[in-house]
Amino acid sequence: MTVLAVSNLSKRYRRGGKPFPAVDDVSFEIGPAETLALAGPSGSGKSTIARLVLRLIEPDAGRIDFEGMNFLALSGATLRAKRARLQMVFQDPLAAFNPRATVARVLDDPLRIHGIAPRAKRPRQIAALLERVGLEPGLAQRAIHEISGGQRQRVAIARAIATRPSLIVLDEALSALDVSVRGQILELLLDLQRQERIAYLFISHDLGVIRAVAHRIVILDGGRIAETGDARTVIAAPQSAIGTALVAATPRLDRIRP
Amino acid sequence: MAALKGVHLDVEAGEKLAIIGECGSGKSTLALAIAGLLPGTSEIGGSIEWKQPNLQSPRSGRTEGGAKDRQPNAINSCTLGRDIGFVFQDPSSSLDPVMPVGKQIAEVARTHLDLGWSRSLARAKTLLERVRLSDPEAALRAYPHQLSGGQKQRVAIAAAIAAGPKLLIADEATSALDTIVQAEIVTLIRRLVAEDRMTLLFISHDIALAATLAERIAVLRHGDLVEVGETRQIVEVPRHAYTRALLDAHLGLDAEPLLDRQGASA
Repeated sequence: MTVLAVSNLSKRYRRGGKPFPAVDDVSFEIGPAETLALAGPSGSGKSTIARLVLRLIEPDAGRIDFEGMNFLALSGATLRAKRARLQMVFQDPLAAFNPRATVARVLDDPLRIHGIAPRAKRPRQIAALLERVGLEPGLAQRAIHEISGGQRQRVAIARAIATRPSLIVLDEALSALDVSVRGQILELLLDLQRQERIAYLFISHDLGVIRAVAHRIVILDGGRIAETGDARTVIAAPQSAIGTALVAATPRLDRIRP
Repeated sequence: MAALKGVHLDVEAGEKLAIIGECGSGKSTLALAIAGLLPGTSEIGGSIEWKQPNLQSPRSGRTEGGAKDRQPNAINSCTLGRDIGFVFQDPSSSLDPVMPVGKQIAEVARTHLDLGWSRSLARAKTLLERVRLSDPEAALRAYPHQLSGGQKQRVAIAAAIAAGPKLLIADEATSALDTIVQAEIVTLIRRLVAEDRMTLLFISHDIALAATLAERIAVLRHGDLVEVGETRQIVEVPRHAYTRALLDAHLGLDAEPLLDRQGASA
């Protein structure tokens, strides 16, 4: 059983008047509680795939099946209902949220919009969500701009899990965090995956992080899949030119120059 | 709030020193203080002393943006642009979007080396060759928006070294770039520093990246200098628990996957 199946997905942009393939005939699947990493250099199509999967943009060709439904054919109320099951966390939560909104407001929105909980029950739900991501319920009344970057990313995760998704797209969600905070957030994501069986589409340029958390990896180059397989196997012995280049370029503490 | 608290640090002429730390550690404040770029509103104590004989006192009226005035009691202070080259994280905001990049590089040479425009532009072309831009002649006339992030950072480096500075400060200069371009820029910095016998201050949040380039590493935390030592010592036998924690938090290609520890599987 698959949560997400992407088949022959393509998206072209125009650059300097000429069509430019941002995503070119890409296919992959993600199962329940599985983490699939998308890796590749800048411009390889990682974020375009994320936006296509979320239907923030529409593809030129291809098919997306989500929880067994033709996702690209959905519209209106059916699409909204399905969207609750497909959530996202981006790199910069300060850009994703209204900075003056309170944490409570940010978490209240999905509960209200998707009809998860009636108004009277929402404060308790919000407190439970905050506890679930390791934050004090008292944080609910603070403004987004007042809390730390790590706390903000925890709020973004709480917002994502509020609608009980089966898949979360994480687009460089850990890249702006300090390493100490990053480790805690990674542990939280893994814990949520085990408890709630959430699948992750994990987009990152950092092979070290991917190797730590992903089951499988897709390496992209120029919008096409260059290589795919078990994350640790691929990173240990990449077969594609771009995979080899990415591994070689990753800074390593065990190979310090004398 | 004190961004730096009584930091005492000697930088040897010709060495490659990395300053690492997390957000709010004070690493950028230290870099800006050395370059004389701290805002006029900041309260500054302490002193920065330049002992390298090649660094002269600034010529009168030639300090950039009040750099001299903002030096914390600088003795034999030196001039940003001429004696110090500075590379910032985001080349898009350090380059002028409406000026051809060749002219921006030439301007540094013209300002600090008293060269005319034609000789400054010739120097700019040589510099674009030295930073390995594929078509230096075309790059001279290019505007920043026509270049990729990595190409822009190469231009910013060319501008930083245009007047032949003795000290190059790279403040998170590769953090906005992807892994492959980051490795290329680190290779470029290593080569230019060796060719021009510059001293390098490499400011980074990434201890593994810093270790690939620097001979010594200084670790900052909350404005305190936690420890400083040779790269191998810092990485293999750190003295401070915080340095150990930073090393443990690094997820390298040799690290224990978190998935196994959690016992999860596909």
